[in-house]
Amino acid sequence: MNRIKMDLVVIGGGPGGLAAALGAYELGLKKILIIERESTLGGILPQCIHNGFGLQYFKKELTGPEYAQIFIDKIKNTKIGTLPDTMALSIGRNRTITISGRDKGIREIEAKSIVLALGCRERTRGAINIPGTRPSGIFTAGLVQKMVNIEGYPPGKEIVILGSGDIGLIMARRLKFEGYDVKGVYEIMPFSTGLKRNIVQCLEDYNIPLKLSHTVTKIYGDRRLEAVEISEVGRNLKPIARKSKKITCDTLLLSVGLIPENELAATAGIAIDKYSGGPVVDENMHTSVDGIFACGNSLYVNDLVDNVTKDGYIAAESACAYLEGKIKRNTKTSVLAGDNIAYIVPQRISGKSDIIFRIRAGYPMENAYVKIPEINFTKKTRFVFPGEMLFIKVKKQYLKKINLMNIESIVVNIEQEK
Amino acid sequence: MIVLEKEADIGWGTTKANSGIIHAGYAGEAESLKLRLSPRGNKLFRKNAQELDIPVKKLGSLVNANNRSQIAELEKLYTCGLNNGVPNMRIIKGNKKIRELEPNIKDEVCASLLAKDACIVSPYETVNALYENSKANGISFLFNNNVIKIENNEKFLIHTDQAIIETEYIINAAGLFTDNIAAMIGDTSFKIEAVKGQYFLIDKEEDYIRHINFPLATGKNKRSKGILMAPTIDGNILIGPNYVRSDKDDLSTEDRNYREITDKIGKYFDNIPFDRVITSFSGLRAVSDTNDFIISPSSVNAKFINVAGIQSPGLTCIFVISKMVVDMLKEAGSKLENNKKFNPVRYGIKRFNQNDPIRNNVLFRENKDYANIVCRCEKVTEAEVVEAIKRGAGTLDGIKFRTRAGMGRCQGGYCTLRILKILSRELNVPIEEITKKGDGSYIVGERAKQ
Repeated sequence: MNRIKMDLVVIGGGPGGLAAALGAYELGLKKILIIERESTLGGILPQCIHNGFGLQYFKKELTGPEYAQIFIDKIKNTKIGTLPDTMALSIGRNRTITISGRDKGIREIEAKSIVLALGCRERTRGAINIPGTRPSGIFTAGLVQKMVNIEGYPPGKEIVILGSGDIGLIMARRLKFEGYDVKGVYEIMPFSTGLKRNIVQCLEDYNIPLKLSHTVTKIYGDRRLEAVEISEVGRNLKPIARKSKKITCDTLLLSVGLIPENELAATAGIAIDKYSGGPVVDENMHTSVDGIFACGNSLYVNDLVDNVTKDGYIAAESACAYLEGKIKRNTKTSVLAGDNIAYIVPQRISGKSDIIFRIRAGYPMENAYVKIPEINFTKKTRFVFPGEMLFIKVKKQYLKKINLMNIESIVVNIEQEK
Repeated sequence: MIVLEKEADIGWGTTKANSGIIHAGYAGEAESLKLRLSPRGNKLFRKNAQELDIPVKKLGSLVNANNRSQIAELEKLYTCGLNNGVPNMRIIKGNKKIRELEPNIKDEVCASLLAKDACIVSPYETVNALYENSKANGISFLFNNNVIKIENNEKFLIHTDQAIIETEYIINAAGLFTDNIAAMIGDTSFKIEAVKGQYFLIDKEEDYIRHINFPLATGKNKRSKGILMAPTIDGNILIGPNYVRSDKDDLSTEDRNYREITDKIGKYFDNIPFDRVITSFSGLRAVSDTNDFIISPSSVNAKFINVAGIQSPGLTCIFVISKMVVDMLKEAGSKLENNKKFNPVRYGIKRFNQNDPIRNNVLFRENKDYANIVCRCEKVTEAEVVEAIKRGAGTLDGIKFRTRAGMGRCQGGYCTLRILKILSRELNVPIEEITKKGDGSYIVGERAKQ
């Protein structure tokens, strides 16, 4: 096998990977390659034909394909190499990536640096253990989005949606548009994890009912889905037996969470944070393996593509700085998720520069404060909500203390005003 | 010779949800066929598996006792195995020694019976191999043919919902429905009860578990071997099945089964990665009223041979049972002779995931589809999917049980559309007609009227 040698290999041609490749190119890096398993670049964006993308980053409202195209067009005018229809199989010693694709066969690429922008996958029925039969007609919401928006294949006629995450909400409206009977969106939690604007624009505007504290407790149908049992759940999220009813439907969409896809990262021996599901990184998005950086939804699941783009540029800057010998992995201080924090990124910091913590709250809270006792940091945030990522900037004057006092770990908490 | 099957493909009855264990042969009631046939079944399976290219891993099994009072029972099992001619067994005493074999076993486990000859196989790959080898040797198959009536005249006249077939001999291997089929010729000598067992399949987890682990069955639990945990041939972890009487068509999973299984297996193992469950499914055992295999000519007509009640260790015994059936056919007057042209060799689909990169590149140079991965979790290539179609797959499940595409952690999220397109292209049918598992299980629906 003749090897390909690169300065930077970006694995994944979605918004994170595109920003990382462009960012590195703009900083003057020469040999850059993007590996993408789909035939086209853009990641999940081409199937997200609704609008609402780019409000932060471009200050205008774009559709998913429009947002992606801006980056794809820019890349076309560069010397960034792309390998579509190619899957990265493993990352071995010295950042040697094994790839497979119809174009080049099975090959090895030696990369001086790597940005992982691997995206995420959807949780399935198996992962949430919905009992019942195993007919056709049960889909993850993103798969249906691809079927409907890219291929033009309808999933079914009478649709029940489990989970009020953004994809579930978007698909409820999309399928209603197409003329199907969307019977309702059911959410096991007492709150929706979707963006507020999506609840209003996708459900309320189209009279699609949203039932909180409800879940699917049984699947019926031998060949094709025939019905589901919906049950109300108690505070412990357990179904209340007498509060269940059977709803006829031929299609069930699951929008029950996204999992950062890091099987490839694991082959490189990269440490994974079990809370975020993504690699443990420092403020430069540097993973636990030298020269490998992470961004996008494989780092943590984002709400807005705009933030993915920003993180992609940070990963690019870091990769370039690493190649110039300007940065090393920071392992100095661990950042731990405390009260009401589901996960926090980055998980390691040097304390030498300002940090933006990306925080996923565990549950909704009003009059909340973000507190880091070890460095006497407190910031009021009014309202926190699991559906909307919290970005908290901590200036380096606060962080100085971790170096002065040699603090090994800090715990970030979200607390209510007393 | 013709095989009639009511489903759209092979092995979709009880075979589909089988633990995939080739047992050593120490468990079972004295004098039962289940016990007697197992040691020879184990040997014959391993021998034939080589010719048929069925991957077999000899991991050995452990029957674990978690209470000192059970050691006598464990010794009984050992003696039973010895008397039955099972080689390579020993009792291991002391948690420390057992832990050397199974690092995640609980402190309470104090003795285990190790039987080194127990193996794991894929039940699907077993039937795939037998099907392909049978076809290669000239046997026909009729799918989607449900037998509804049999006329027992000079010759048999079998009526399916699609066809009428005249035959001199019938082998009744209809699994859960063997009693219904036998009753069609007036043989009501046995009854088959469906006993459901639910499983969990956990994602690939390196070195969590090394053997096939059974709890020591005691008292009223003796009817089944209990809830096992074992690696699968593809590196996943399988946990199950429990034992619940059921209807013959009820393959649903239930919440209370989840709890029963997790509670029970939790008594033997620590740190079970339940957070990495990929899926749960149920199978039905065909349990006869004698609780043993029924392998005999019908009392109504000796040319009708019942192969019924084939629950565990049925998979272990398939080749022994087939030899018995051949003898019974001869006894009944069939002039079976050794087929000199019989070819016992079959090759499995070449798996990208099992080959080294150099071998895969050789395959790639012959066929570019060998480098096009359509299933990300199991690393299945387009070439394997196309080959599976050539070998008889016509549905998503048909592809899944031949290639493993769709069996991984994303449960088809990535590959479903890709495979639908390949099926549609290769079979030259519109995508709307491709099903998950035959009639009625369509995937792409009708367009809405605007």
